[in-house]
Amino acid sequence: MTFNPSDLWAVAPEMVVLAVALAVILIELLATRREGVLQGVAAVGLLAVMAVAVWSLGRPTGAFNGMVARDGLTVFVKLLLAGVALLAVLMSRDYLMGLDKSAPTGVREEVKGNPPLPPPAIAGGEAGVRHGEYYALLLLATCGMMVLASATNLVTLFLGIETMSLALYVLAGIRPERPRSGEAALKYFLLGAFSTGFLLYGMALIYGTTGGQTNLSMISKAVADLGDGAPVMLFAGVGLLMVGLLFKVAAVPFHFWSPDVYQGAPTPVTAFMSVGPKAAALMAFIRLFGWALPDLADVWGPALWMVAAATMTIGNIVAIAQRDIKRMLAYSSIAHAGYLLIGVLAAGSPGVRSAATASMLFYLVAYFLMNIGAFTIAILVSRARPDGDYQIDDYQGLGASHPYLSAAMALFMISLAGIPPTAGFFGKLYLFSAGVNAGLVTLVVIAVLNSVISVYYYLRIVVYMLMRPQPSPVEVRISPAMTAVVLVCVVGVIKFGVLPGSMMDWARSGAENMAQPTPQVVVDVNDPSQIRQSDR
Amino acid sequence: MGSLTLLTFIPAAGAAIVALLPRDNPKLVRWFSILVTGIVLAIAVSLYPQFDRGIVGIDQEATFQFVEKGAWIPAFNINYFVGVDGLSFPMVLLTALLCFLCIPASWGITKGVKGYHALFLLLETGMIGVFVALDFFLFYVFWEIMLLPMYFLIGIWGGPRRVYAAIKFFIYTLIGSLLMLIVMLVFYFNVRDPVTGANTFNMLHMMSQANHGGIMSLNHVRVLLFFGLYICFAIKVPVFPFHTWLPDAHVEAPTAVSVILAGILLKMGTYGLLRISYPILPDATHSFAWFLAVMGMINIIYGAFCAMAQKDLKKLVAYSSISHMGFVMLGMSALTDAGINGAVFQMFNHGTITAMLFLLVGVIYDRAHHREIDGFGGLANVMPRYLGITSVAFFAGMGLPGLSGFISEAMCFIGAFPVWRTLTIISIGGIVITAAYLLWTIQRMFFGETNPKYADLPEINGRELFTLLPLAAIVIFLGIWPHPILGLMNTSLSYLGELVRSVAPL
Amino acid sequence: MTVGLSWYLWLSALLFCIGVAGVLTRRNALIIFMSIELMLNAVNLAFISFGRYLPNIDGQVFVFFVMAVAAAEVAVGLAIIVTIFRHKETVDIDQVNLMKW
Repeated sequence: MTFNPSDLWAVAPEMVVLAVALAVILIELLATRREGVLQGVAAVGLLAVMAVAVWSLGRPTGAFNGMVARDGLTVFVKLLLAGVALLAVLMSRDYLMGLDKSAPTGVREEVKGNPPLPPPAIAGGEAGVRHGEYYALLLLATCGMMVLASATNLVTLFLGIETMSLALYVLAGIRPERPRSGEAALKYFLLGAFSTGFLLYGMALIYGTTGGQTNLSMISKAVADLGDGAPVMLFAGVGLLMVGLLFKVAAVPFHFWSPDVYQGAPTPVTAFMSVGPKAAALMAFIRLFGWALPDLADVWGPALWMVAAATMTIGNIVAIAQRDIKRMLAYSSIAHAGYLLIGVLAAGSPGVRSAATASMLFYLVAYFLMNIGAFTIAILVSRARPDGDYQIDDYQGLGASHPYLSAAMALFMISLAGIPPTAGFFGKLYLFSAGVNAGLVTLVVIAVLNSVISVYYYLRIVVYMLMRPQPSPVEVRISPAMTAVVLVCVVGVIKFGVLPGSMMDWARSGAENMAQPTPQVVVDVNDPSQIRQSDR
Repeated sequence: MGSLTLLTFIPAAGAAIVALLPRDNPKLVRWFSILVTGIVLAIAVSLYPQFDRGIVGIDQEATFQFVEKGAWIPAFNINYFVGVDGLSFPMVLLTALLCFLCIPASWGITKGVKGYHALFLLLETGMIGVFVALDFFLFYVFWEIMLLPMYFLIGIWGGPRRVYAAIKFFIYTLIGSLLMLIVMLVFYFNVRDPVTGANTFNMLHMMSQANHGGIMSLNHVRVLLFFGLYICFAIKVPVFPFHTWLPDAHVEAPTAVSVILAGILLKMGTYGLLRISYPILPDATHSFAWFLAVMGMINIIYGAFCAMAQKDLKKLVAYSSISHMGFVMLGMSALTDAGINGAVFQMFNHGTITAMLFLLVGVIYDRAHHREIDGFGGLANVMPRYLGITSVAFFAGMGLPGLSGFISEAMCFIGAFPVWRTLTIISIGGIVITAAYLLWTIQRMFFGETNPKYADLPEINGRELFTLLPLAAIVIFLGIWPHPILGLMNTSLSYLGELVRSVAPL
Repeated sequence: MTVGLSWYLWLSALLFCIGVAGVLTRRNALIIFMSIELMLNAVNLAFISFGRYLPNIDGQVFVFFVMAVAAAEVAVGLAIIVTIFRHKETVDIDQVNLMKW
């Protein structure tokens, strides 16, 4: 095993993200606490990450002895993740500033019997959020997602998931003065750690049954060698691993945490969480199930099929009943995870693998734009309310007083519903046609019916905004950064809805340019000749 | 950029600009919209002398006119492919004309003027796009682009029950487009590009039966596909029993939107049947032509009787549309030269006549703020000029000789009679009912005692005359000399009829 | 009777199940948290025994990563639980119910 300096290119985006995260913390500590500076550093840093990611693109290969992949797919996903983080950073400032100015200091629940303890003594901004910390955590979560998306080894997969999750647990609870925020963090943390247990146990069983392999392509080989003689423990391992990952994607029946966490977490974090971890975990899914374990497709395939069908159906049906827009978007994002699982299933059939991966990439881009856009407008509207709540009723008559904002929101809703000419439509078309190609016709029919159901609750927002009278005048203030976020999303949704060709080509070349690195040398402690070989 | 691209996208560009105009200046928005639709109309009219009446189109790429073709989404082999032939060009002219006249007819809109006009222009893009698209996917996208502005125009600027009407319209149309999407994907996966062998959305490739493969060579699948498309288009026409959205939508929609809805959107249904179902599935069409004829007859009679029962003038006009679209169905189901030519000519004529009717309803509604037929009376003394124009429209609607409606209806009957004798004879009864309810309406509204409440209603004004007189002139002119429009379509449509007739039924 | 791989694996499975049962039945956040740690340690046992019997060193390497991550989880988790306690004066998760689960 040798260290090859060029391997560093494979993790260059991660390194830059880390450096920016540290820089943000240090700047806050040593230089200035000015919000704009911190945000600016984070934003510029993420732009640099994107540049480095593009720069690092090369021939598909592995790095660090097959621990991570360096290929078009990872670069595509890293760009996407950096983009998600960038928009989340841009929309955070207003949110954090709003906290400092108008924070209701601790809507505390009085507990009978005991006198309440003094409010949490946390240094930092008036509302208790250290802004540098916030941006740093956002960046660290991004770093974890990038590792997760490029992992080709169970160890890196696990590290990526945990780096991402730990940062997200804290982000969900970063507003300790709001009980809901803390509650969201606790729920997310307990269930997340619980699912990590399953994930790890699955990994242990796979490791044991494949003869000590942790590298994905070696696992694939070992599974192929086992053939029909694969032990039940291996199936159990695959099942447990699937449970762990499905939790991160918030698929039914492992979705219970997500509406609560989405509702309780600060909204920019929610927006970030609704796209980033999904994208990263789905890439891990693709690498693990689509590329490493296609031989076991008749084991995980039916299970995933049912999970996908249940996820989209329950997500859409429950979304109809929601009165809080964040919860509605949470269930909608569960439904979209269900659609995306079609791509994972399709990737299990060898002929469609690249096409299915490409369609997922395109869908993720579309989903990223429309969902972040919708969350941004949700923040703006909620801030017009004195109590900062997120009721769907607040959207009544918004079209009369804020036509552009409403038009943008309507566009995002139409795109989420998958009506042309928007990015969401082409995303669905691409994804579903990959599904049909892979023979998943029944599932695609279920998905199409679900899209029709989803039209109902997405368009309800539109009806509220444009066709109902306004109960009381509201004034939504929009800062330049928020305007920029909304504009990027609007332009993207329209661009990829009218001229999706270029993005489809990028997604396809990303999916086709995919590495399956293997370790150069397998170290076996009991084989002295190998140890000597590796010492070269 | 070719003229069809300009025609299609100038309104969309105009919509974007309208959205950016200052909010407090509705006059500017209105005049700018007139300018945009005027440019579109000018371009459409300027294509008229260039249009070659001698070549066919339909399924021959070489004989389409003003063709533009370029890759749009290479991943799915989707092209930006537009062109017109004798079937689509009259519809493009009609669209450009009605959109232009509808802007002045929208003068009364005071709420959200900008949004209204932006959506209206976007709607025009969708409509022209549907008529010029020759790639099925492009057709589908334009079809959907049409859906949303219409939904908003009814839902935001409509009458008291506008949200209900808009959602009903939306759900019906969405179900239709979902069916179209499914049929389209089945076509896509089973039709091969003869040159490259790849799957294709190109309608002209789909029309060549040699390219069909897979499940599309199974007869029962072809029948299913035919009926999938039929339901989608029947919802738009609308054919009984899918028509219930129409009266609601019309009653709630503002005048100009009703004009577009009845004048153009309804034509999309029959246009889709002729453009897609007929040439792509000629055998199924040939087998089920009788079905189309029966539905046409039902529409004629049912629409006419419903119209007769209405108290609301606008609902009456809406049902008369259903009845008149029945003539189109009957004519096109005959597959004869006269029948198909008559059907498309009737599409054009109905577009102008029904536009007049809805504009006239709008005129009286703006003054009296209600549309109860029995609430008026003796308006002939109050508004003689209004009576004059109304008579032209009503007489054209009942097919009086000398007006355009007569020629197209007569052609439909002449074409259909040798093929469907009984059905045609029953349908002719529909004309009698039509004449009855229209004359009765005129009598109730304009003659008899003058309702003192409306004794001093102002006469029809210059702006309204501006929207109505061109249509009246066209109706009279085509009634005397139909060749300018009929000549455009004859070559293509005779070929289309021959195409379907020559294929053996399933 | 020799103590083979399967003994360790059964023990690990048992520990894991105890952990799962603890998470599902207990209502005290701290106990739940401890049950989760138990699950992680069951995993560690499985990794080590596989590594010993295969034999392959990667299993033990994996365990180091798991331990490091578990330590980080403890830090974050306890901090979150403390925050909740400040507000609620309780760590009973049935009381943490502003939003329905």
